[in-house]
Formats: sequence, C-alpha cells, structure tokens
Amino acid sequence: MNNNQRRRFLKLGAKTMTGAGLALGANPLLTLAQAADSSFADGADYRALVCVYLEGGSDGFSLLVPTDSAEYNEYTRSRQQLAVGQDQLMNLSALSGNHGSLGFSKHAEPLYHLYQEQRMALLANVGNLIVPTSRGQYEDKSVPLPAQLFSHSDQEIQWQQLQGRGRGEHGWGAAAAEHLSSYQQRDYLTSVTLDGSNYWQSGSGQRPFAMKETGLLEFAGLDKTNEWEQPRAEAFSRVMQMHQSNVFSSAYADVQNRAIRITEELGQVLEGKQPIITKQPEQNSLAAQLGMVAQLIAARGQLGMRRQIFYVRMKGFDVHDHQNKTQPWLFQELASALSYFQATLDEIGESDNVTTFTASDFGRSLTGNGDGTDHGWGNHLMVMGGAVKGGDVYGTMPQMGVDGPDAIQNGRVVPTLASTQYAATLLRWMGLPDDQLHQVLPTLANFRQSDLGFLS
Amino acid sequence: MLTLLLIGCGGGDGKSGNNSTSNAAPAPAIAPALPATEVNNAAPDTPLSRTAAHRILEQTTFGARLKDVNAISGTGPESWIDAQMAMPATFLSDGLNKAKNDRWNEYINVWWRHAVYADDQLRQRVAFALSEIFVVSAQGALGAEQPALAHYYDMLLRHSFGNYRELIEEITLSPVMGEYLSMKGNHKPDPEQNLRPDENYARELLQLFSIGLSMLNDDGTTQNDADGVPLPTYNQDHVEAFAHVFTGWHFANAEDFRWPENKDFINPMVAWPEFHDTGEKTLLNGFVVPAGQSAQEDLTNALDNIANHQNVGPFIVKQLITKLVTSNPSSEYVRDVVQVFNKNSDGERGNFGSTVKAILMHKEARQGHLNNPDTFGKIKEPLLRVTQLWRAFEPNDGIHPDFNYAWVNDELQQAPLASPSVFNFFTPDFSQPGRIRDSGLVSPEFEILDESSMISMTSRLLANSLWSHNYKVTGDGNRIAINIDREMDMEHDREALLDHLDLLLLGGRMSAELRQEVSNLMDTRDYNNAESQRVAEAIFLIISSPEAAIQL
Repeated sequence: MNNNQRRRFLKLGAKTMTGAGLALGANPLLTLAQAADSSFADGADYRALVCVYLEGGSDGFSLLVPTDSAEYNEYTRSRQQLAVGQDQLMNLSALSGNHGSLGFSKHAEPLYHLYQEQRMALLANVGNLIVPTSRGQYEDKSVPLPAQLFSHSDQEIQWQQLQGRGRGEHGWGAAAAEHLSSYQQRDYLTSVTLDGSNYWQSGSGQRPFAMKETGLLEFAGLDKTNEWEQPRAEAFSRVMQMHQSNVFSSAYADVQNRAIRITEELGQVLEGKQPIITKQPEQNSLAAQLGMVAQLIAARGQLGMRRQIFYVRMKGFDVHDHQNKTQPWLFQELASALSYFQATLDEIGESDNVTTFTASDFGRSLTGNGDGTDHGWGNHLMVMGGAVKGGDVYGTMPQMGVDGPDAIQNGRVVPTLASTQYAATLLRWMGLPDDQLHQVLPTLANFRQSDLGFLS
Repeated sequence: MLTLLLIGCGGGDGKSGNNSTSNAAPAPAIAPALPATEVNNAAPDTPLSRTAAHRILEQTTFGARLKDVNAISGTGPESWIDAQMAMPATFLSDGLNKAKNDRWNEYINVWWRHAVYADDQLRQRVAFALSEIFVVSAQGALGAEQPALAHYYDMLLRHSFGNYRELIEEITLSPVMGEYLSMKGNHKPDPEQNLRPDENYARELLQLFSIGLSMLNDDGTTQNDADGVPLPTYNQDHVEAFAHVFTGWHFANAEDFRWPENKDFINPMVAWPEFHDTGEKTLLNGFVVPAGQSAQEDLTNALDNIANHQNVGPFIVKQLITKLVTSNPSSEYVRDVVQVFNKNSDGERGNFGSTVKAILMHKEARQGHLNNPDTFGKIKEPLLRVTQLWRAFEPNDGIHPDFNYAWVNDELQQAPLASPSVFNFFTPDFSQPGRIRDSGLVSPEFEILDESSMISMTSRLLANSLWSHNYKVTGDGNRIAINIDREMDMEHDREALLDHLDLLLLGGRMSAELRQEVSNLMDTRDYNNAESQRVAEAIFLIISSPEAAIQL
C-alpha cells in the first residue's frame, strides 16, 4: 500500500498505554456506560464464539485418518496416491475409546498438542443434513436433502444459515446475536467479522461489523479533532444523516454511519489497550485476523461486551489440483494460526470464555481426480477452547470405502452428524435456552441429540 | 493520440496465433449494422435531455463526461448505442507491449487507461461485466501471467457484441480458464487408481457461466418445488458426465500430458485423444453424447447442449441487466430481453449486441427510475466510482501515461480479473440485511461494501479529489490529477457551479439538502485564493454522498 502517509492505521496496542481512564475520559459515552453498570467490568461473565471458516471445502480426510490396519487399508485403497502416509500421522488417543486407532496429520502438529492437552476436540463426519440420512435414503431420494449439495456457494450458505433445505433470511449466528445483543452496551459489536460480509452473521436485523486484520481503519482527511478537517468531516457526517428514500442510498448511508461512529468510539478504546505479547506467526492472514479478535476480546470490559460472535476465514481449501503439495501447507498455516490464537487467549486470561470452531462448505471426495479431490459432503471439524471437553472424537468415523455403506456418488461421504447439532451445542454453551435454540435452528428437532456434549 | 490505442482492422488479437479455432476470428473493425431496436416495450427513441443523456452514460460507460452529455443530448439513445457498437475495440494486450519487471502495475495501468480514455466505452463496460460472469483471476496460479490475463480480457472484448455459443467455446478452450478451473490436464477415469475426471470446470461452467443452479422461467423467476425451494437444473450425475466430456485437453505446446514444462497461455488448448474419455455421457435434458467420439466432438455436443438450455437466456440476461442498469429488474423487463437473446431479428440465438441494445433500449432502462425511484438502480461498483471521477474531470494534458494505482484490490475490493474466487467479487443474489433484504430485493455490490471497505474507498475518493487536482501539487508523483480548470472559471458564480456539478456528477438529481451542505462547506474556505479548495471540497462532498453511491 503506497499511501500510508495519508491513511493512518490504528495499530492496536502499539501505542504506549496512557491509562484506560484517560482513554475512556475522552469519550463521554463510554464513561457513562461504565458508570451506569459496573457489571461490564473485566470480571463480568463473558462468552464468545469464533467461527473459523475454511473456504472451499476442507479435506478433513487428510486431517484425521483411521489407522487400524483394515481401516487404513480401505482408506488407502480409496485415496490412492492422495492417502496420507502412516509416517505423516501422529497417534491420537480418544477418551471415549470407541473409534479404533486414529492418526492426526503431523502438518497440524500444534493442534495435536492442544488435543492431547484436552483443549481441542474433533467432530467426526459432520455435514449439512435436514434429517438423519443414510446412503440408501440418499439414493432413493426418500428423505429431504439440503438443496444443491456439492455446490460451494449453496453449501457455504446452508452451513451458515441452517434454515432448512433452501436459502433462508438469516444466519444462525445472526439469529443468536439477536438474542444475545440485549446483554450488552454496543449491540453493533455483538457480531464482528474480519472477512467482510458473510451469511452466518447476517439477517434478523443483524449485520456484522467489519474490521480488517490490520486494525481499524480511519477515514482520510475527515478527522473531527483536526481544525482544518473538522468542517469537512462534520459536513460529511451530516450528509450521511440525511434522509434517503432510495433503498440503496439509504443502506449505503447506514454502513457509513456505523463506520463513522465506530472509528470515533472504538478507536479510542482500542488505542489504549496493552499490547498482546504472544508472537504472531508471520505471513499468516488467519493468524492476523485472530490476533485482531484477541485484541477486541481483551477490550471487552471497556466496550461493555458480554456475548460476542466473531467470523474469520481462511482461503485455499478447494484442492482440485496439486493436493499433495498444497494440503500440508494449508494445515500448517491453519494450525499455526489456531494455536497462536489459543495462546493469546491464555495470555489475556480468556481461554475458558472463548470457543473456537471450524466450519467449511463440505468435506472432499474420497476418490481423486488426478492430483486433487472434488466436492464431497461429510467432513471432520475441530472445536477448541478452555470450555471444550477435548482429547476426544465426537461422532462416528465413517467407513472409507468408495463402495462402502457411507459413500455415494463415487466416493462422497454421507454425514453422520448434522451441522445443526454442532451449532446447537455451541449456542447452548453461549447461553441460548432450548426454546430459542429451536427457533434459531428449525431442523434441530429432526435429530435425536441436540447437544453433542463437547462443551462443559 | 487516442488512435495509438485503437486497433486497425482485425489486428487487435495479434497473439492469437495459428491455432485459433474457427470461433476465434477477430471482430471486424466496424461491426455490421445492428438491427433496429427489436425489444418489446422499447422506450421511444426520442431526443435525450441532458440529465437523460447523463443517465445513459452512467449505464454504458466508465463515467459521464460533459462533452458526451452535450454531444448526445438532443439525439435519441439508439444512435448513441449504435455509434458505440460500431467502434473498433481497444484491446488490453496492445497496451502491454512494453513489458517491464513490474508487469502487474503495467497491466492495471493499461486497464485504467482504457477504462478512462478508450472511445469504445460501451464495449469496455460490457467486457468488464462479462469478466465478472466468466471469471478467471490473478489471485492464484495466474498471478504472474499478465499477458495471458490480458489476452483473456481481449477475448471478452472481442465477443462483447458477439455470440454466446462462440464465447463459451473460446472460454472452454482458453488455457487461462484451463489453468484456473483445472480442466487443463483433466484425463479419462483410471479405475485402478480410483481416479475420476476433475469436476471443477464442469461444475462451474454449469453453475456460473451458463444455466445456473435453479430452473428459471424466461422472465428470470425461479421454478420452485412445493416447499418453495428452487428446482435444480442439474444434479451430481450431470456434473460427472460433463467432467468426462472435458477430458483430454492441454496447453497447445505441452510436451507431456501429466507434467508438461511448456505453458502456452495464449493459444487455445489442444486435444490429446489418448486422455479423452470416449464413453457415452448423458447430459442435460437427457441428451446422450454417443460413445466413441473425439474430444472436440464431445465438446461441441456438450456446449450445444448447454447453450440451448432454456436457462441460458434468463441466467445471462439478468446478470447483464444487473451489471449495467438495475439490481432488481422486473420480470417483464427480463422476459422482453430474453426474447431477444433467444432469437434476435436475424434469427440468431445468444447475440450479445442485440441483447445489450435491448437491455438499454427497454423502457424500464430508460424510465424505471421514474416509476420506482425508491427501489430502482444499483450500488455503483467501487472501481466505477474512481473511473467516473477521472472521466468527469479529465486531465487536459492528453492521455495520462501512468495511473500509479496498481494495488487497487486493497482499497476497492476489486481489480480487473482479480476476484478472490470464481464467484466474483460479489454474487448476483447477495441481499444487504436491513431495508433491502426486508423488501425482498438484492444488492450484489453490497457484498464488498462494509465498514472497512467503505472507509478505504471513501479515503481513496478523497485523495483523488481533494489531494490530486491540478491546482495542488501532490506527493504522488505520477498519479493522475483531476483537472478543475473549467470549474475554477465558474467558481465566482456559486449557483452556476453547483448546477454544473449536479449535472456532471449526479445527472441533475442532487437533493436540495446536499446542495446546501456543499455550499455551506465551500463558505468555510473563505480565505484569499481558496477557489480551488472550494471547488475540490464541493467535488469530494458530492462524490462521497449516498446519492452518488448509486446509479439510478
């Protein structure tokens, strides 16, 4: 970027701390908020969910591999040259002990350690389902299925909304945020995204606040505290407040107004915070996004937040090509970012209050296409944090045979856990009561277990 | 000077080489005469007022200029469209001849130059729209292949008023697409190895480049099942069948099918018969490709099968309307244009020239903002807001050589052929939560507009107006500076200046409240020699307003 001289990034935490009182004193709104309700102090109860979205359909079948000889042989028969070698796997012990022996990709080794420390759990064969579904039911078309299986955009939106077969009006994050925003002072910070618009946090009157991994941006040339810029900045703000009858102009002004308000309000709070000292991995966008999330969580007391949902995203998982070269690198970057994030949460003392989970469009096909895999369905996912009953694999490992009981369409795996069950478990931990859970997740009642038990 | 950028007869595609398919013939320098407006419910071809002229320029160019407003007001819209379509194409590759080390900078620079200065504005605008439908991207393996990207963009320019069926054949055999969606090197099944053909291109060709996911009526509405869920146009079996069709192609100069060293990103891919699957394949609508055919025969059959599907018209037409005119066209508007797409007056299916003209001449394009002012129009794409500013205040020193603005994606979430994925910068059905979603409307461009991107885009507009005009020396060296001489001459007459800026930047739709704010802000800069400051302040406040954020 060649205009750093013109636009100032608020490098959060980089400034010397002048005392939280001073930073707050500059903002009457915040001071009032603090004075009005001491329950927003740092010690008040706080919970956050962090969705780590793996764009493109991540290959869980390269992350978690059955290693008993019969199962491993079946896996290699299906995966052929894309099968992860035994020498690339680290042996996992699962507490519940009914999965046979399992291996975890050594390219994600930092996560292996979190698992062994029982701070990370694995979810076996999760995917979008409307009702429990078997291979036979898929082939007979005898049960309702999510619309447009195997399409990136549809399965991503399906995952993020969970409103039934087709597209809904809101994401399950947004629907939950609607219930959660009453907990706190700044409902516009209930949902924060580090990757722009998304379906998970949108709808039901909710729209996530968008930040950049580099920090909070400031409007160039529109600083109201600068004497020269002040008349322009005030005119700009007034123009945004004008009534707009056209829906597009009006929605545009809404975003600008929130941007103006937040740079004025949030910037001051964040600038005064202690820097996080855990070393952030370099050249790792996901780590940078998660670093910003940690900065915001560290400021939650001053911001008056008690329930938040965060969205971060990592790209590149759609490995139609060059999978053997790309997949190890993807896992390394992911594991490095997630373990860094968990370390920052330890540093700021929020580990028990923050649960991080992965989600993705779908898993990938068992069969290869030459040097990659195509779009599948069921997938292995991860959940991490101090509240996670880790060191275990939840759900059932699927059979890996291309013609096996779990496979359809030349090696795509039918999920045995529904993403809606996964979401319900996470939201219950966030404090949503049962009746609200069923409102937020309308297909939840189709499944026997509405709590998968991986959170305490 | 402009002629340097323009291409002589048929010479624009000098790199297409000797392996071009028969469909790859360069467009003639002067397009054949277009049929007269053939769309039902066409607007009358009556003389345009100055505000109506500005409005059609916002729909058909990278920005309205006063000289164009003046030139076309008083004439009918059809003559403007016909004149534009008759212009020879300005090709991106031709600006790239001085390839240096910084090829990305040069590539973007040439794109800016053509967007701002090329005479064939309508073709440039349509090609840009096509580049957001038939997506390839520099993000990924093509990042260092600027000549290849430019060649792909030129293909879109050549076909902007051409034929859909011909375009998808060129796209399918483009080595750039072959690389991007991994059709290059796709080979027949190997049951021993559990290998199936790669489904990537097959799936996205169906989902994004031709028929879309859901069965459509000719008016663009979806056909739904009893639960209100759209009926799918195809299933996984179809994807697998098309994946088998698209086997056996590789770079024209590949010396080995599996791991070639040579990468010809310019000439169409060529067939390797031994890697093509010759089995029977069942395609859309039950059409069966017989066993034993060549790769080219299979491909021809498959593309015919796709191109003749009933969804192509509504799927492609609706997207073109949303890119050029309005995010939420009525079903009548879509239906009328689809009729022309399906069969123009020459009996041709899929003619983009006729389709674009129908889109622009339809009464909804010309008058829809009068009937539905609150819901008509669209959010402008960020790239267009920048080009519109530069075109409104063109530098007076001829064609600016260097825009010095290559890393545009960081600030505007857009750059030509550089979207984050094949799903484009934004998707056609994105609906901004709030009033837009509650009204059942879509707002595709909003998918890239959030607090962060709005701040960086607004900051860019401020830098390009307040800090980069010809009365202010900027710190940016070669960066283009807008020319405000004309406005300086009018500055003594505030009302005349505001009338002028209203027409030039908003097509005469500035609200009284905004006008008052602009005037008040100008009053605050009341010291000696503050004229240029007042003008620049006015320009910034107008172009950054919610009124200027939309194309109505």
